[in-house]
Amino acid sequence: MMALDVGYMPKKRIARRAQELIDAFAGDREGDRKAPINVELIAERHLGLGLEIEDLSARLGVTGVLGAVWFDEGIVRIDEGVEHDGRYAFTLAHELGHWVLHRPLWESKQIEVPLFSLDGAEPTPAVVCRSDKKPQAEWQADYFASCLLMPEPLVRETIAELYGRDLPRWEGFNALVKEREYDPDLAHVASVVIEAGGFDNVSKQAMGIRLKELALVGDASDPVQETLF
Amino acid sequence: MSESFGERIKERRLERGFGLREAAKLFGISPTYLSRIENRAERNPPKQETIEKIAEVLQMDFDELMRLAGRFTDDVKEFLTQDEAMPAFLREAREENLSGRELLEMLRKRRQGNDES
Repeated sequence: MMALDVGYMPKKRIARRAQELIDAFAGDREGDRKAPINVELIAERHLGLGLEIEDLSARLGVTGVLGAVWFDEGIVRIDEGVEHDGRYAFTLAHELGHWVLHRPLWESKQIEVPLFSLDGAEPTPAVVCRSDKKPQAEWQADYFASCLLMPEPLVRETIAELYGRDLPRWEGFNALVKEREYDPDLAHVASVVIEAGGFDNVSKQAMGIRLKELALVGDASDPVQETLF
Repeated sequence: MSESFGERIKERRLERGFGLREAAKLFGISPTYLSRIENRAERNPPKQETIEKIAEVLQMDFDELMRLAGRFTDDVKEFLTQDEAMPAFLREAREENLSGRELLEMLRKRRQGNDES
């Protein structure tokens, strides 16, 4: 099993790669550009990847595995224990992040490390994604997943429709962010955005993180933002 | 179960634009089971009611799916097992290299002959 040592990649580039994937998948079908972004069809129909759901922990002999991508076989496997729709879509989108962002690097490493392509050897996944490990490659794949399922223009559009120019802000937001505490107000706004924007395959937690990351929510004491776009 | 059963379902599912989990929900089976069927990891074919559902959702021919799954409908099963001469008849038909289509054609001609007389 090979750990991917990836370099720095700016957020903008990751977001662009996710948007390019959506655009290439959708083509002239405008509906496919809207939420919920169909990551299953992007994986299987557009990228031509195999998609399998199975007991990954048993296959790999390690616990806490959510998903894994086999670069050499072109297969994404998701653990059968990932049941929640939002968690499932995010895990699959995360693996697509590895496929899009990291496969070229893996391919170049393959040439340098022929030991990993021994004839007759059982193909092993290039990237195994566990819930408790977040090296750089995992962070990048997470961000890609976030951009793929919640494209910035769609999230901004939904926020604008719901709140106009008056972005949702409340007391105590900054303190809870600092202490990494659960924020019921953020969870509420996230669920409203999910409902209004049709982000049916996104969890409240993922939407909350996205809204914070895009600075579309804030603390009542923050200076009011003048423009949304 | 025929190897092509899962492949046919997957091919048609993607043509119709259904994701794996979405399709599994519509078929009333678990995503893991559907994944195993499609990837030829499952030995047990779905039950008749599930195949009916698959045929309905994917707009496929039910008899064809049953055949690919290696299953007989209840009425066919009953017909085959109640007539004691049926195994011998089928073996002889196979020895004669008679296909189901040819047998069907013979029956239809016979029926036509009966109608005319």
